[in-house]
Amino acid sequence: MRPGTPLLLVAALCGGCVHLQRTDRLDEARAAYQKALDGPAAEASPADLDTAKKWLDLAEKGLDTGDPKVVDDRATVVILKVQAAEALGRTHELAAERDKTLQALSATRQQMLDEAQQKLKLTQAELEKEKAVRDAAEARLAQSRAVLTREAEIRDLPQGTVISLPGAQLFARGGADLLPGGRDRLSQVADYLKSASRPARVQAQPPSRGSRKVALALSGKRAERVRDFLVGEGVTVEQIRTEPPSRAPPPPVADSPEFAANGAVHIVLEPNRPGRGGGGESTPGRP
Amino acid sequence: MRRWTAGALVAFGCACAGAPPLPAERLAQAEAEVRAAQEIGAERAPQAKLHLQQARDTIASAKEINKEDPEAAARKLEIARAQAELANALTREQLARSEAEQAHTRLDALHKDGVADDGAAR
Repeated sequence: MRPGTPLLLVAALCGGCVHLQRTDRLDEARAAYQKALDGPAAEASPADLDTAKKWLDLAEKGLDTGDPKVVDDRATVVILKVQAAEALGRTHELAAERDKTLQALSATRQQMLDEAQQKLKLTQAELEKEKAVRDAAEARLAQSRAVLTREAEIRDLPQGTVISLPGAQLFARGGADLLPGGRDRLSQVADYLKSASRPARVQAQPPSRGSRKVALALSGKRAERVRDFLVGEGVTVEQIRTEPPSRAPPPPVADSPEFAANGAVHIVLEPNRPGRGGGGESTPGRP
Repeated sequence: MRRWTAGALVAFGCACAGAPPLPAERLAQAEAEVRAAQEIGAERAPQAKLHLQQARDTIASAKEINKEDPEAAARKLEIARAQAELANALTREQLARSEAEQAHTRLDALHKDGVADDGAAR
């Protein structure tokens, strides 16, 4: 045997047992696996990471074959399994986020519903209160009308509720000063007007006997006197006004000798129109 | 004569063992994963679609190289399966992301408009 022969044999043997230490792909797989251990996949998909670890072990064992293709193929599987595990981890996080948002959505809806119901209750309470106030006002109006009906003629006409008082009940013949009994009746009228809270006008019907010119002048004074008295009783200036008999004819009244002799005073309460406050009275045509 | 025949059969069997067919179970698993990814809509998620196509290509490649290198072909089937699994996982992630975004949109709409129902975003 030549002197160099043993050395060649040792070298050949060593060459045959070349042990693969690493490949780039395997390094990449190791790093990916380590990174995944610190991410959401560790908690959300541990089983998938376990599978990836088994493949990593297989890839490590593949180094013993000395075939880098075997190692790289197995390392590729590791990387893909890790990526899938990470995707599943993110999926779990997203699902949790979705569930949390849906819970918040449900809670917000419930809160809005509760608030709406609370608001509705308040509105209903306010409406009931308003209705009670309105009912009370209507009751007062009906009551004052009932009182007034005993002393005056009240008619519901298209132009409004007309309260007609004979001139003799309010004034001395030919005069414009109110009689004590007339003041009492006008006080009742004032109560009625205040309950109604609607615009009203005073029209004095002149006596049909005697001078027309004198009768008209007297009627104007009487209308003003009545208006002033009603204002003094609490009817607002804005609510009541006078209307000269020469400009607008008085509403028709029953043909009475008393009216003819001493005239009359008509207080016309305008009809109740939708959207305006006040009592719900005055249906035209109602007796 | 019978001994000769038996020997010939053994030799034939050995020859066939040198070029085995693709491992049926691995092929079936890889193809099943591809189908599963398709069924949940991997084609509509760009990243998932990419990996799904890679899985298909890898299966085709495994079939091609099986004759020359059956072990490499078997490894490719494992890679194909993992690629399809990744496509599947990415598709699910995309669906979950979409659902989470929709939930946020609905909540934002509710806060913004104060509407009782946000059916349009549902």
